[in-house]
Amino acid sequence: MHLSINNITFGYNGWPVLDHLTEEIHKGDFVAIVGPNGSGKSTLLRCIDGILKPQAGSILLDQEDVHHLDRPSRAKTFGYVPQESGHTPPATVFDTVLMGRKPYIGWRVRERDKQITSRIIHQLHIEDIAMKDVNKLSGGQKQRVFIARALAQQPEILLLDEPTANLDLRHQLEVLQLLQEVSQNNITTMVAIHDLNLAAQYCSRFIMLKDGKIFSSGNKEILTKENIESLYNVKVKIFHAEDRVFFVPQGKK
Amino acid sequence: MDIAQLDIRYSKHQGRKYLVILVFAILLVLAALAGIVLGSADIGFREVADVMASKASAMEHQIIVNIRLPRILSAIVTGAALAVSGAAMQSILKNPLGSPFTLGISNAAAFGAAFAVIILGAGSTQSGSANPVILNNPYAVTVSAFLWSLVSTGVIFLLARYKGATPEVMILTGIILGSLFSAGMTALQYFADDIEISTVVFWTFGDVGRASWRDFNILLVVVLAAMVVFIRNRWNYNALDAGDEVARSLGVHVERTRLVGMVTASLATAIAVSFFGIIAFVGLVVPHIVRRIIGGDERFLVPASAIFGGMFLLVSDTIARTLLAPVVLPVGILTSFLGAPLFLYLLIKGIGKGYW
Ligand SMILES: Nc1ncnc2c1ncn2[C@@H]1O[C@H](COP(=O)(O)OP(=O)(O)OP(=O)(O)O)[C@@H](O)[C@H]1O
Ligand SMILES: [Mg+2]
Repeated sequence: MHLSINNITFGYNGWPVLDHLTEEIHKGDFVAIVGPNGSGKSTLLRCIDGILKPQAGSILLDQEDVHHLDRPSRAKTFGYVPQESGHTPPATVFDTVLMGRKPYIGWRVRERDKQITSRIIHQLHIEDIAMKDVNKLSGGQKQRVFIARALAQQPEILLLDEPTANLDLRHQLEVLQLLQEVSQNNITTMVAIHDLNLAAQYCSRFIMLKDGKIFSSGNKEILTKENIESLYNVKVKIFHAEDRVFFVPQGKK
Repeated sequence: MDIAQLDIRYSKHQGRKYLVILVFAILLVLAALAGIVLGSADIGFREVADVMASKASAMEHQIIVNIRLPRILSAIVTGAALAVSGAAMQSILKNPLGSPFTLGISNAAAFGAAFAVIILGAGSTQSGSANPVILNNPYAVTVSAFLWSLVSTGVIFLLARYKGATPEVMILTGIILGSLFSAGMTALQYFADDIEISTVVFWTFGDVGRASWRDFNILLVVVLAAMVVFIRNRWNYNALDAGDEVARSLGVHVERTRLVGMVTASLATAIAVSFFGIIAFVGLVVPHIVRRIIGGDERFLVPASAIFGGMFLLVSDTIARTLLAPVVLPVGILTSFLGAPLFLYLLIKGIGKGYW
């Protein structure tokens, strides 16, 4: 599905955050949303998911306004993994992933819902912890479980808010690799992410947000020294090696 | 581990929960049987069989069919109403103290009863062990208690609509209303005579011995309706557990779910309290006990709380009417005494193992 972010504006109780954003996102893109703290990355993801309703503009899915969809249909279209989830009541990993079937569940859970849940648990290699309480997992395991829950929604578009924060090096790679595979399976994937080097390694498109506006967007070519320096107000050095690009921060401007 | 093994493990995990519910149900039936044969009149299973075969004496028929049976069934239904309401409120408000009682419903109902007795002149009291409260007009008291509970629920509802249906808004409003109504009750009592005051005090001691078949029928309908609401919403409540944002992204209408749950729980409690007076702690303690045994999954928590709550109140009532026989204690006194130490015990053991 083609996603159009169409001139959206959003503010929290009159506190303006997103200012007339427009962007086109193609099916199967793996999009990184980068930008300084408070630039509106999380807010943008919430607007796309429909958790927040933009005050102006629209989000179109193949020409259809997302806010005209009913709640279950929206939940079948967008999966969302929040930036942080605090303490939640004890629930097994299996039940947590099964929760992703919520928009499909009528009066009772069908065999098919359980099959999909099992399959996703299997795909994400979390079957060994399937009967454990989610609260008793490590940060990386939890992240996997929440991604699994979002995948159980069988979404067309997967939105993740800083999925690699709190993860060690290996788990960061694992999660991003997983998301890359997801996007290659034609599920459009958007992540808010701070690590530019990781984003550059895995993502195919980039949206740079600054002060609620799109500072720049496009493919890897926009990852230039000038763009990064003025986006974050820092000095960086840029290296190219093995077809990859690396940024090394040098200090404040 | 392959997928088939995973399915088996999950089925086992679920099976244990069904088993717990089955055990609760069996215990409830046993408690009901004990309730029929225990008491000051000498009734055994033979007499019960006689009644069923319509061979019993008029006296036995009267005791079993018109006194014990409505009392037992009302205790079960009332316990179920209080427990499911408490369980639902704790879940939707994400607060271990969220129960219609802590949120002022009982105070509002007590105020309503006092209002009927003192302002509308609906009651006078004759002390006696069997039925200490004789109200000139019991319906006026019940209706007034219920209407004032509705006022309390309505204020919470409107404020939540206006300020956002967050747990904080709902809990704070409930607590404030609770203290407002108890202040109102004190003010009313200041203008009352001793007979009116004792009537009000007797009314507030929750007692399922006041039950008639008609009361039971009304309560049963209300409880079943409330259960349908809670069971229909079980996945919504489970989703709320994961956080409001996640629930929204799963398609849950968070505010509406909270409001509907809150109002349903309040109404079910209000009806029970209006009929039988204040029966404290059941709505608070039973869901905590059940959560520890069966877990927080609403699919199981709602029915398990209903059954366990019914059993809890029935056993309490049976103890209350046999402990000091022939004196029959109102069960409300017993649950208050049982509830406080039970709650403390749960607190010391860690309420609900990491639920809050
Ligand atoms: N619930 C809220 N109510 C009011 N203002 C908010 C709320 N959430 C965020 N904001 C404000 O909106 C702006 C954008 O916040 P947002 O969380 O979208 O930024 P972000 O880019 O995700 O930042 P970070 O990198 O720190 O996660 C900030 O100025 C923030 O203060
Ligand atoms: Mg953020």
